[in-house]
Amino acid sequence: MLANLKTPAQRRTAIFYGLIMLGFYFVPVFSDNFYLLSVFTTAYFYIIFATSWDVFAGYSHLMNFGHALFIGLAGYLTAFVDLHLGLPPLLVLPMCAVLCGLLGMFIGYLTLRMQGPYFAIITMAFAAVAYESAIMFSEYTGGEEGIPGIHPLTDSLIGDYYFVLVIMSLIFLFLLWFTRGRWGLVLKAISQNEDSVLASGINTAWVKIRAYSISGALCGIGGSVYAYSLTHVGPTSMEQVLSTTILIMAMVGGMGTITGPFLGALILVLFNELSRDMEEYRLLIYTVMVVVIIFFAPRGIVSWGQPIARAFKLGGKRGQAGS
Amino acid sequence: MELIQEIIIFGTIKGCVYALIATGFTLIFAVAGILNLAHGTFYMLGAYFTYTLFYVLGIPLPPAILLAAVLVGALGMLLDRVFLKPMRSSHTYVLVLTVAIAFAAQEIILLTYGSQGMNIPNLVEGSVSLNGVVVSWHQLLIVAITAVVLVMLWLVLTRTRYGVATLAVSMDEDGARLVGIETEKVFNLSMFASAFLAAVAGALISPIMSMTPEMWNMPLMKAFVVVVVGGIGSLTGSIMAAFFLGWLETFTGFVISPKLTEVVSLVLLTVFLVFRPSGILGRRLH
Amino acid sequence: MTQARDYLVVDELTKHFGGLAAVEKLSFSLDRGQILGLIGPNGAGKTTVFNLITGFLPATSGRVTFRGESLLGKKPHQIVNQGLARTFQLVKPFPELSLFDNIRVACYGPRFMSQGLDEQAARHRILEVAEQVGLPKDLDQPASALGHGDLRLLDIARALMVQPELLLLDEPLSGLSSIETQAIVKLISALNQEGITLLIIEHKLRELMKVADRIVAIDFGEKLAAGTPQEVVNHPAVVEAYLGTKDSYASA
Repeated sequence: MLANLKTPAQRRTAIFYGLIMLGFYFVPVFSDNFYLLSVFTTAYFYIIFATSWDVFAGYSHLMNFGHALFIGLAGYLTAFVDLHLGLPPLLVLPMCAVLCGLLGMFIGYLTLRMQGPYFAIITMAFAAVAYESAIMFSEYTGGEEGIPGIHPLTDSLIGDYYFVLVIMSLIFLFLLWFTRGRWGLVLKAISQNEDSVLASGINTAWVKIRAYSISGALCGIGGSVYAYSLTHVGPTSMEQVLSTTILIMAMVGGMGTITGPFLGALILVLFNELSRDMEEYRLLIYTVMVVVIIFFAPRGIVSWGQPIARAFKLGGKRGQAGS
Repeated sequence: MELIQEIIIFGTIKGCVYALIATGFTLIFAVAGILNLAHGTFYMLGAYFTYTLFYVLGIPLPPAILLAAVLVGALGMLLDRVFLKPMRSSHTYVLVLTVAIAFAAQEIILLTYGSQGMNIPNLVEGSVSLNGVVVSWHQLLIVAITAVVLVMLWLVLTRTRYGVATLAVSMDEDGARLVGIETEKVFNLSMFASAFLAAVAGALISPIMSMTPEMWNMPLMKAFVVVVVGGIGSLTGSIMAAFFLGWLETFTGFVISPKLTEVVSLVLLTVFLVFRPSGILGRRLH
Repeated sequence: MTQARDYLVVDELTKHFGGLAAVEKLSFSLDRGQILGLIGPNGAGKTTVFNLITGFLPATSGRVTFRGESLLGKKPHQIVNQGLARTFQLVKPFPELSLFDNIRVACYGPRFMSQGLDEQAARHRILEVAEQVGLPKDLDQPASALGHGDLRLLDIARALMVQPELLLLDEPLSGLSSIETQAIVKLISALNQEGITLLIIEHKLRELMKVADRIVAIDFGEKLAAGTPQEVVNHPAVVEAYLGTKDSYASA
C-alpha cells in the first residue's frame, strides 16, 4: 500500500492521519482521566461505524439509513454468546463479523435493483423492524431495557481503551487499503454510471453485494466491541437516531473517502462532549452546525483539505481528479 | 359485527390522517423527485403552531388550524427556496439535508416548548353513537375535513393552471420547461401544498395524540409505507394505500395484538419493497 | 465458409413491449472482419437490437449467437467477457473520475485481468489506448471537462480495453463536428485493420458508406433490406422509410 503514496498530496494525507493515530496511542501516557479516555473511546466507536458505513454507501451513493442494524444485531449476539456460552471476545468478534457480513450480503442482494430513494427507505425499514422486534420479543431481548451484564473486555480502563483503539486502527487501515485499490474505483464508477461498468465486463451486482457485506461485517465487529464496552445492549443500539447520526458524521466529514468519516466522527463526537456546558443549546448548535456544513461543503470537511494546504503552502499540485 | 364496524370506522379515521400525510409526501416526490425527510417536521409544526395560535394568541381553533397550516406551508416554501434549490439534482444531499433539518427542528421545538406532551382541544366536543360504536365529533370532523381537502386538491390539480402544470412537471420536467412552464414556481407551490397538508394532519390529530418534539418520526415512516405500497408518485395510489394501512393497523390492533400495530406497517413496507417496488399503481402522478 | 459467416448470427430476434413490437423477427449475420452498418429512421429499433444482443434487454424470442455460443439470456458483463464490447447512443462517462481512471475501470474486468499484466504494463496499455483513440494529452482532467466528441472517444477507449473481437458502436458520429467525424471514421478503419469486427448504428449515411462492407436497414423493428451500401441505400423500401412515398409527401 505504501507504493500507492505517489503524489505529495497522498503523502501529506498519510502523514496527517498517521500523526493523529499516533496521538491516540499516546493519550493514556499523558492522562488517565476516566472521562477523557471514554470520550476518545466513543470517538473510536463512531469512527468504526462511520467508516464502515462509508465503504458501501459513501462510494456507491446508495444512502444507507439503517446502519445501526448491524450494531444492534452484533450487540445482541454478543450478549447471548457472552452470557449463555461464555465465549471470549476473540471468538465473538469474528462471529459477529460473519453474521453481519452475511446479513449485509442478503440485504445487498435484495436491494440490488433499487434506486436511491427506495434504497434509503428500505434500509430504514429493516433497522426499524429489528428495533421493534427487539422491543417486542422481550423474553429474549430484555425488551426496552435490553440485556445488561455483559462481561467487560479487559479489567482496566486503559486496557479497554487500547482494545478499542487497536480494533479501530485495524478497521481503518483495512478500509483505506480496500478502497484505494480497485474496489473503491469500481464502486465510485458504479455510482456515476453503472451501465459503463457493466459494459467493461464487471459484475456490478457482485461488487455492490461484496461492499455491503464488508460494510456490515466491520460494523458488526464495532457493534460487538461496543456492547462489551457498555456491558449492555438494548434497542437504543439500533435506533434510527444512531443510524442517522452515523450517516451525518460520514457526510460532514466527506463521504466516499474513508478519511472523511474518520474526521467527521472524531470532530462531531469531540464537539458533542466539549459543548456539554452549553446544556440545552448543545444539540441545537450541533444540528445547525451540521446543516451549515452540509450546505456549504457538500463534499464534506475533507474537501477543505486542499484549499487549506494551499493556504499554508504545504506543497503538492492542485487537486487530483478522482484520487 | 360490532368489531368489524369499529375496525372500519377507526381504520377510516386513521386512514384519513395517513392520507393527508402521504399525499403531501407523494406530491413533492412526484414533482421534484425529492424524498423530503423533513415532511414529518411539517406535521409536527402544524400541531405546535396551532397550539401557540390558540393558547398564546387566543385565536379560535378552526382559523388557528388554517393559519398554522398556511404558515407551515410558507415555511416549506422557504425551506425549498433556500436549502433545496441549489441541491435539487443530488438526491443524496437532499436526503441528508432534510434529515438534518428535521433534527434541528426537533431541537428548536424542544427548547421552545419542552419535552412534555401537549394537546389542543377537540374542534367540537362530545361524541355520537354510530350504530353502537362511539365516535367523537372531532374524529368525524377529521374524516370530513380530509374529504374536503382531498377533493379540493383534486380540483386544483385538474382544473387550475398550477395544477395542470404540476401534473406536467411530474411527468417530464424537461418537457414541461420546454412548453414554458416555470418549474421553479411549480416546485415552490407544490412544497407549499405538501407542507400544508402535513400540517393539517398534525393539527387534527393533536387533540387525540399528544404532541412531542419527536412526533415527526411517525408520519415519516407511515409516509414511506404508504407511498411504496401505493406506488411512489401516484396520488390515487397513496390515498388508497393510506386507507389500506389505516384499516390494516386497526385490524391488527383490535384482533391480533396492540403491540404489533407498529410492526405491521414496517412488514408491509418490506414485503412491498422486496417484491413489488412499484407499488399498486406504479410511478406516475395521477 | 461457415465459420466466417456465422461470426455473429441474429436469427428471428423479437422483442415485444406489451403490445408494441419493437423488434420483429429480425435476422442478419456478420462475417468476421466485416464492418456491418445498421440503419433505419428514428425509432426503428436499432438501439433495441443492440440492447438485446449485449444483454441489456431480455429478448422475447429468437436466437443470437456469437462464434457459435448463444448470447441471449446472459448478463451484460458476461457477454463482454465473451469478446463483445459496445458503446452507447448517449455518452456514458464517469464524470467525476479522471480520464485515466475512466479507462482504468475496464482493467478490473475479468477479460482484461486474464492477461495477467502488472500495474506498470496496465498503465502502459491505458496510455496506448488513449493515444490510439486520440484523447487529449492531459489524462488527469475529469471527464466532466471534456466536450461531446472527446467523450465519444473516451467510451471507445474504454471499450477497447476489454480486447473486443466484435465492437458495437451506437451512433458514434452523432453530435460531432466534421473534423471529429473524420477522426472517428479513420479510427474505425484502423480498428478494422487490426482485426476487430464492427457493427455500427449510424445516421450519417455518407460517412457510414465509406467504411461499411454491408448494411442492414430496419424500420419498425423489421428488416427492410440488406446488402452492399449501394444496394441498400437505393432500395425502394429504404427510401420510403426515410422519406415517405410521393403520396404521403403530397398530403403532408
